[in-house]
Amino acid sequence: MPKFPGIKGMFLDEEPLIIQGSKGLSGISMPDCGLKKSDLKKSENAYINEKYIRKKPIRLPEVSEPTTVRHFTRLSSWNMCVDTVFYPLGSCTMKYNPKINEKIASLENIKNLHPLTPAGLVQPVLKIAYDFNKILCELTGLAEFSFAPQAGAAGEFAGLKIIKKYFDLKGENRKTILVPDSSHGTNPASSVLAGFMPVEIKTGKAGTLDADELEKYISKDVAAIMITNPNTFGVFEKDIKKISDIMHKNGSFVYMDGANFNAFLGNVMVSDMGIDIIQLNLHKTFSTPHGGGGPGSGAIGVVEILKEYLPIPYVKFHIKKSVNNKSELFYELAEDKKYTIGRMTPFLCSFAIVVRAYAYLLSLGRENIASVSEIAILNANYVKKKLGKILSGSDPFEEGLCMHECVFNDKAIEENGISTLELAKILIDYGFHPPTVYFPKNIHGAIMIEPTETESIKTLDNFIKAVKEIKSKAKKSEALKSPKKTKVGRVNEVMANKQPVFKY
Amino acid sequence: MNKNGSFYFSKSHEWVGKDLKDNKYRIGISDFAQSELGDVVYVSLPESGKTYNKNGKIGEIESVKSVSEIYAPIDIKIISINSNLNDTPELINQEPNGAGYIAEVEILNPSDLDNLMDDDAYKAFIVSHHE
Amino acid sequence: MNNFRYFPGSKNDVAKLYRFLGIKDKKELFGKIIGDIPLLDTNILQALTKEKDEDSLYNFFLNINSNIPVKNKFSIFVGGGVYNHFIPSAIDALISRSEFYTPYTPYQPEVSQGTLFALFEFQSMIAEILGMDVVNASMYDGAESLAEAVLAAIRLSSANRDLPVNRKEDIILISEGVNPNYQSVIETFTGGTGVKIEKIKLNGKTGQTDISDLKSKIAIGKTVSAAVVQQPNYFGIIEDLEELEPIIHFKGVSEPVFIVSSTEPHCFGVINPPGFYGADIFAGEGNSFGNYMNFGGPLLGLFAAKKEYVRQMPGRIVGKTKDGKNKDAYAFILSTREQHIRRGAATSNICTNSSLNAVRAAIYLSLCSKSGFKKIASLNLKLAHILRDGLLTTGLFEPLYTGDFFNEFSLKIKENKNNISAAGFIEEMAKKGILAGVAASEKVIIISATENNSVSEIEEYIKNVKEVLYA
Repeated sequence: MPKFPGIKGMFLDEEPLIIQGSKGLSGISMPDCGLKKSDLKKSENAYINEKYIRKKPIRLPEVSEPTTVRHFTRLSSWNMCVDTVFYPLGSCTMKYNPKINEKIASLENIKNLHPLTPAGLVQPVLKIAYDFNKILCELTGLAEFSFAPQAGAAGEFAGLKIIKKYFDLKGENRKTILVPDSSHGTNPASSVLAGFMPVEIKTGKAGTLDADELEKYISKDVAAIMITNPNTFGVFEKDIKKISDIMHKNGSFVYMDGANFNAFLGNVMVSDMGIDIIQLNLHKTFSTPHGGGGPGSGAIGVVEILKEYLPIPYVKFHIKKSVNNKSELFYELAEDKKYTIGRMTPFLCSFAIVVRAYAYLLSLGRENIASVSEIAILNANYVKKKLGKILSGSDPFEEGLCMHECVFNDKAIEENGISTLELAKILIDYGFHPPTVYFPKNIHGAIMIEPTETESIKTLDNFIKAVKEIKSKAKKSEALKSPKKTKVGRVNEVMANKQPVFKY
Repeated sequence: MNKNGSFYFSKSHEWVGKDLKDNKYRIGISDFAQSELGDVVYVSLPESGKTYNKNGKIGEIESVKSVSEIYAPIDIKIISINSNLNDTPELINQEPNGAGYIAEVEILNPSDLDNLMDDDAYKAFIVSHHE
Repeated sequence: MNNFRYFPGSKNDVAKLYRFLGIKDKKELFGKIIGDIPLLDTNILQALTKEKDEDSLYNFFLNINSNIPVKNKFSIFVGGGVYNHFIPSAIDALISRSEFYTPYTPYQPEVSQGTLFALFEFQSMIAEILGMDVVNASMYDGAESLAEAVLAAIRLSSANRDLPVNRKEDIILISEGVNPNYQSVIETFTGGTGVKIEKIKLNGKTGQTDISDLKSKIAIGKTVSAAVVQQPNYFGIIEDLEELEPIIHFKGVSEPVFIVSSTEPHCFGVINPPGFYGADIFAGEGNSFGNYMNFGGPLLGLFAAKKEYVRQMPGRIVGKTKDGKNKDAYAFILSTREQHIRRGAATSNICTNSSLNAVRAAIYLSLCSKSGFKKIASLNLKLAHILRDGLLTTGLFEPLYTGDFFNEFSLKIKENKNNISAAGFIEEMAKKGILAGVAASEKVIIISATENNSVSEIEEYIKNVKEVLYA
């Protein structure tokens, strides 16, 4: 049995389709629309003005279906993914994506549904959105969610827009959003996008915010604090209730970046920490696949007083008498939110993502939901404790427990002559996806590991053993050339950026 | 050999070179600054003819994964920019004090130079602040 | 806790973890971390139900959807931003490979070449179709992409004038031919920033963006940052971009950025794309390329620009480069524009996008290939015209506008016996198994036809129209 999964695969080379040589072929089965021959033959200028008609040929591939299928299948084999390797990417919650969710989202009656279908015909679909909303409220303690934001960053933007509108309507011109210096980059970016000024707060050794330090930044200009909890070090914000009190006393809001909600799911309601707004990344905590960068969903939840500010449309119901005089609930898309920040997407939401997340929660049920964060925390602490011994002196938060992820600096590996980047690249040849590296920025050469609840102790041990071996054996000269067993070696990113090539 | 020659340095790691003639000086970023940045892939340059106050942002230098701002070391007016940097930004890494200069400038208050560091002072500054 | 199928750790393993950490139980674990914050008692949850086994779960979704009209049961003639196109089976087969749908964003290029290469091909093919220089690796949807285009335009025009962003005098001109939901999203993004939005009327006869109204709004002394039109517009009318371009690119205080949107890029298989007419930015919807309608999401935002504006573009961009052994390799480039590096000064906050939808589009366009792409566009054009002509022949409708159209058009319902409104008409038609279109106003309906609508479906539509409106 091999010690590590490692990489031994066979990678087949592949050319871009455009230059594969065939001419005049196509891989699509054209629907038989029953057009008359005379119509088929008619040239386009019989329908529209000659001057609009595209005459220059479009440089697209000219290939058959099997060529296309082989091409993309080969391409896929060059990716590492959750289904093939341990993927401990900190801050990203790379948990298992249950297959039944994909099957459900692929039901004809969901995927082929046009968003402008009249409400009377889509009652069960609207009910899914309504019921899922209720579950999220129950799990967070908040009053209402909106699924309009299509990713975490869009959720942040929606939350900040709500805060902006709240103060605008109150006639208060608050401009400042407090953001810890250890926050995700999206936080300050979303603040600016929503028309605020982000002000960075210095955090302590474990990236945590100190209530006394926060007091120094408080003024009537502060609209809200954006706090990631657990923070980007995987550490719980111990002062969170004090922080919320300070903010609320100042008439300000507490926005929680819910990217790390996997640390709480099923065990802690954020309302108990005084949170006013949160975005939940359905593609992290709620098991919908990342898709190699998207699509996702950044459902946003708010407390009672902010409900009327949520984006439109939303699902509500009224009681309707049916034909046989029975009362039934009639669900509809409504736009009557008094202070809504408006629309964020042309239709309701990323419905196919919401369906997957809903199916995930229904699978778990109330019996298993609490195990998610419990095991996620246990796994992370297991890695933290075991790896902490190997990377001695590298745990900036040695004394306490972490939540769903742990982070190390590069002190111990530097002593053995390799950098964080090199560790990451060598891990690939051992058959592991690297952890998140160089984030958070205030940890030198940060290595951030999030194992999630869907990994076994055996996998964690294997990963820890690999880090140990790399630390003791890796040679700088060799490290620089890693990874060696992947489709391509170290990519020349300097060249990629200096002389950018955007298309074939 | 003294690589930096007799340059004046700012705390934000820009240098002002010797008077070329007619009160014309070159400015650039220090060898230390370029080594911290890593491979430079893009430079956004100041505008010719424009005046910048001391510490005003005159441009940006990008590596693959970072962005650093370039500040005016003192009050200056840009005479011409080093347009070679558009196509070969790596000049900043190769010759930060020579061909990788940022711009040629006019110094608005020559006495400003006195407030900058000389070579030895700059070296000491780096040691005390960055090591 | 119980053993559960998604957790590879058994009850015993969990006990082992507790022992290793020297912690007694869950209460102590959380207590040590979160202090006196109470733990949720999941037994009392109400909205969250009892666990469901896989088969019950599947049947639950299968059954609750049994009355929903979908393709093959219903004829779909509704567009309005999402279109009913044929999706080849090969796309589903390829995209169901875990290697495509279960990785994260390709931040480690050496283990993500598959996604990066596919996205590079996506960018290339979209660039060809639009006639634009640079395409990014996707946005959320057409509306959000367009709103981000407006923000990029504001940055560009401020840079030209050396004024701070978000100052008061920014005017954005938006044609009334832009999808109203897109207009709303732009308002959400620009709201409260001091940007002023002015609408440009449509020509009452042709339905194209009105030239004289546009001219009066781009006048000397006005600081217009951008002008936005949609191709074809919301009412289906093909805009004359050639005529609009020189008016928009008026060199006044600032030169407005010419932004073209679209909800149906299939049109560019037949008509000239925005890139041929000097559009600075294209921002629109790409869902028609191989993606399901999904009740409105996820969708596929397309964003393209002229090369000189690349540094103001939002989102990720894949570039081609080499590895250490001089083999072709792909990586994200120009990341310094993005939030994870530039934080508050980034061009956008976007991070997760619609990557997988973009890969679907790349597969779709490869399958279509050059000839198929043209042919589909041609079919759309012809079928929509056959439907329109057939409906006009009934004498029950009149055209709203005279302008040329692609696969979508607008009709006004004439005075009828039942005094049926557009919304009422759609409701009645739905009872007959036809999603007839979008009600744009009291009497106006926007109808679309694609290669998924056969001539016999079209005949059925016309037959039912007579019944609904004559009855």
